[in-house]
Amino acid sequence: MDVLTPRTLDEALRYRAEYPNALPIQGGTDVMVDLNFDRARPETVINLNAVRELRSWRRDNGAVWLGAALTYTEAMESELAALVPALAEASRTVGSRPIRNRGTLGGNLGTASPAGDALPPLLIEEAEVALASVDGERTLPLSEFLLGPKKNALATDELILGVRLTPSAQPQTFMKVGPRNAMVIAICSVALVADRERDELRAAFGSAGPVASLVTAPLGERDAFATAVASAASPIDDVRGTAAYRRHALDVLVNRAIDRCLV
Amino acid sequence: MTAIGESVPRQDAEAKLRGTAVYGIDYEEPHYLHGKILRATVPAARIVRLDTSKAEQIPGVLAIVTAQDVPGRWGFATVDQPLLADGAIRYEGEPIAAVAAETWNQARAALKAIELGLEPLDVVGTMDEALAPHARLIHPDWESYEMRPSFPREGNVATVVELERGDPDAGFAAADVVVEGEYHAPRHHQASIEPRVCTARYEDGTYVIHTSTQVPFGVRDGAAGYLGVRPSDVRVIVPTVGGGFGGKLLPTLEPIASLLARKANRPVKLVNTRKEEFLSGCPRENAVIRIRTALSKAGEILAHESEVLMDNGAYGGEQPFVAGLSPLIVCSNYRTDSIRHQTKLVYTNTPPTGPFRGVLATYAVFAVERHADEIAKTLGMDRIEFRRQNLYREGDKCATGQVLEGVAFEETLDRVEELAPWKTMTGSKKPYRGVGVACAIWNTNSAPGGSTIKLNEDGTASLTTGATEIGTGAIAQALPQIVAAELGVSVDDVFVSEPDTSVGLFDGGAQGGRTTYMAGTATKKAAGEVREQILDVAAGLLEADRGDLELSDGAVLVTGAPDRKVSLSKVARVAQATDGPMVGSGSHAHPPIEFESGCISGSVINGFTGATYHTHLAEVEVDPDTGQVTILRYVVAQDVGRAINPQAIEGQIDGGVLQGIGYALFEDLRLVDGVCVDWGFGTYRLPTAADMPEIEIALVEVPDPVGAYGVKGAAEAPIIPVAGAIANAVADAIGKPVNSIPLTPFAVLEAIHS
Ligand SMILES: Cc1cc2nc3c(=O)[nH]c(=O)nc-3n(C[C@H](O)[C@H](O)[C@H](O)COP(=O)(O)OP(=O)(O)OC[C@H]3O[C@@H](n4cnc5c(N)ncnc54)[C@H](O)[C@@H]3O)c2cc1C
Repeated sequence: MDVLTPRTLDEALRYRAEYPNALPIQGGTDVMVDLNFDRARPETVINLNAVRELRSWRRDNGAVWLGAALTYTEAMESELAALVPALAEASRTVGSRPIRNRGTLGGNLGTASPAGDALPPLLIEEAEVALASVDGERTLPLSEFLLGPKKNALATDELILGVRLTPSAQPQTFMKVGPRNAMVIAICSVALVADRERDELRAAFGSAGPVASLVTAPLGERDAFATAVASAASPIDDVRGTAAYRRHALDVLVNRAIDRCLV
Repeated sequence: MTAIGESVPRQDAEAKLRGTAVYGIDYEEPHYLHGKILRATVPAARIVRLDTSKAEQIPGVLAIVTAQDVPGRWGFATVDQPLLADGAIRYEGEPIAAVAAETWNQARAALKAIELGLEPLDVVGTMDEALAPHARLIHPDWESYEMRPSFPREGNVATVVELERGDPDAGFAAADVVVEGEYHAPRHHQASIEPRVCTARYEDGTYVIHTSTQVPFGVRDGAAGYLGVRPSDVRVIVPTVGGGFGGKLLPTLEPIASLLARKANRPVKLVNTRKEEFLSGCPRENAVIRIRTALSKAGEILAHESEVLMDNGAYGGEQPFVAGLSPLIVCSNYRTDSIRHQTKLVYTNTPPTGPFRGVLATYAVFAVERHADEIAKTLGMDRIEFRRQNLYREGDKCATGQVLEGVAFEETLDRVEELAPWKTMTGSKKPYRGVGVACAIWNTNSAPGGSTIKLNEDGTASLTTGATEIGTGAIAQALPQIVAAELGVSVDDVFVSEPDTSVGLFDGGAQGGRTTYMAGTATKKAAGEVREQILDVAAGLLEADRGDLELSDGAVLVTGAPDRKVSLSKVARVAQATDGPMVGSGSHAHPPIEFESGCISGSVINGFTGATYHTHLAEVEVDPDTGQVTILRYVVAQDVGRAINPQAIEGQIDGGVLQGIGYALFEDLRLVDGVCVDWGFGTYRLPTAADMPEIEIALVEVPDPVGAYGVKGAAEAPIIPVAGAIANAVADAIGKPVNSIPLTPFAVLEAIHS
């Protein structure tokens, strides 16, 4: 297996164009698991860890730019947490400290698991994903980027640069149920914002359908909202939990999230 | 000076914390080969073809072994298990062949090149299927298998244990109230951090095996059995062990590595992958327990009837022997002289089950203590009052009629009461909060052991024993503390060598809480011998009476005359020059126990040795909407006989309780049609630090008449009452019985809505 370590974004994109079958690796917390279990045997790996352009976050004209290499630990730091609180809450629930130190937003988007914990908080803030190739950049809403379980709109010559969102600055939260308190893939999760400015409730769920998805309703429909979210979900029975439990838990979590956000 | 009762630090702490300890998995020999095992991917089949010729052609492959290469047979109780599948596959994960090659990749390629032809057989995946009339026999030749000792068995029933005492029918006829319950418990995986691993070489007619095991002498005997050689032709050495919990009690990889090493004429290292650990790790068996109790209105137990089904998986292993303990624990805790019990150990086409910390007691006590709460509820009695009235007291008889001495239930209840007064805990009940207690009596394994101690010329002492450190600290500090106390030296001046079956005296292994109890008592005897010799020599050197001498601070001194002393170093040198090097040996076995013979069959466990007493209390909060259980408070009162090192015991209690929390709430090694669903930590969920409440501990010291200083087993037991205490608390919180573990959010939610 060859490991390519580009130093700049341009170099990374050139490698990406040259080796369409190569697998990008950032934190490796998903990629290494796949390698260890023999689920992936790429001939070439593009190690993105030296590419500065992907790192960190910044304010950008009222919006916030989150680099693909932003780690969960960074997302939990107070300055960013104040801007995107649900993402910070979600980040606190991810894996364990070593996983939070290594795992990144870009990796969560790249994996596009229905259980990806970064995805619901980004969905409720209507984040856009920025993708780039040697031919240029494109941007698409996160909801269009996520195509199915572990499927996304990334082309084989593209890299994820990061996401851009305009913080709603409205009360929001993230909750997940799992069979134990840490290091657990959610049985189901919910991010919710009570947007008084737009008179809107936005909720996104994880692990309760093929992709993390967004559901909205006017604030006035708060009483029916939990049921609406639960019925928008299409959970399945799997080794982690049953569809019935997931639907029920979604209902419970949405109601609790509303209570927390609309005091 | 005495080191007994002091929380001295463990001798292996630094190496383990700094990562310099050499575990079995770190151990390497020059030019060793990589071994790998071809394992069955289906639970039941006939092997119609096994062709290794292509695999042999793979470059770097130096040896391949199959059933044909295995000279002998072996069984802990029943000789039912081939080392490598012989004609039939009986569980998913069963070893079929093994290869040794220069590199890991070559070994892997060779496995893939082995051609295997299988004819599928109906899978007998559950105990119900195995016990059904006309069920396919998993071992059609069971009658021809040798069994030592010979217990009743038949077809898919690997062994039957029965106990009857008193007149249970009369008890039920006279009953005011009969309470019945059925309880279910899952498979439970040991999950040691270090997988099973060993390195074997064949040298001058001896198989030399370095292996991560809890029982070097058991591995020696098992390997010798399979290899068809004498036990002394096998030498087992144990590097640092990265966890066992019962999972490293039986010989598994060692004889396979030995065969490969001999055939390849090179050392061979075998390491289980995590998946192999899950498939072939001999987890705690899943079980069903049924209990019926006859009672008077006043809460007196008139008779007790119980039945247990234990899933043995495909092969017996140690289980036919372990099953014999079942009546002692299931028909227990509460006084009654009319008992009827049956335990059946059932073969299924599933991975063999085996010993795990607190064998069978984790679920037996869960059942017994859930049942006790159900009884109290039915009688309208307070749960603690029922226990105080009926728990064994001094002089009561346990199930086999053995008269119990040193019973400490009362003391453990009192200590829990001090920490968490029952009236306060239960007085103002908040919704979905609950409190539960569970009591347990547990045995200390009394397999024999021996130690040898030499006094070195510099006044330090070296201890050699076949006893093994698996993390409990028994060897890393308890035994050195005993030597230090007897010889008056510092604990740091006691050196323990690693277990080596060709050097150390026999030891029954790190299991059943026995190391300090049995090897510790042997060590005290050995130290006593050395002490006598020291006193003889010192008396001459000091021209003093032996009776006036004391050993302290590395010297022998005359009591009351602090300036008249001689160093142990001098004593050792003088002794060496006159009589030769100074050495003492101690051997220890437990005296036989008295019980009502004839009341029990299918068992060689007739009563308790080093019985310990336990009360645990849990307070929980249940989320009524999600079914999640949060433990708010956890209290343990444990009788340890004598706490040689209180901090070490507290560490064992913390670990045992956390392991018990996993068993009560999360862990379930699931099988569907004999196929493992959980073979990694992604879906098999162990508790983490975030699930751990603070554990409040009270140590109770009611001395044992046999163990040195009154010591009893301490490390194994704390896992045992946990599921019972938590389940009772959850039942209290939701006002509904919860009789199956684990209490996952799904199960609890279902119970709330039932
Ligand atoms: C023990 C453990 C616990 C975990 N717990 C959680 C949890 O609680 N919640 C959760 O959501 N996840 C969890 N995960 C999964 C994982 O940590 C997350 O998905 C994480 O966000 C992945 O980030 P990474 O940087 O490590 O990705 P990597 O493994 O490096 O990459 C993941 C995927 O993204 C692609 N990729 C990465 N960066 C880019 C880029 N810039 N452009 C294009 N493609 C890219 C890779 O090619 C790969 O396909 C856990 C994993 C482990 C091992």
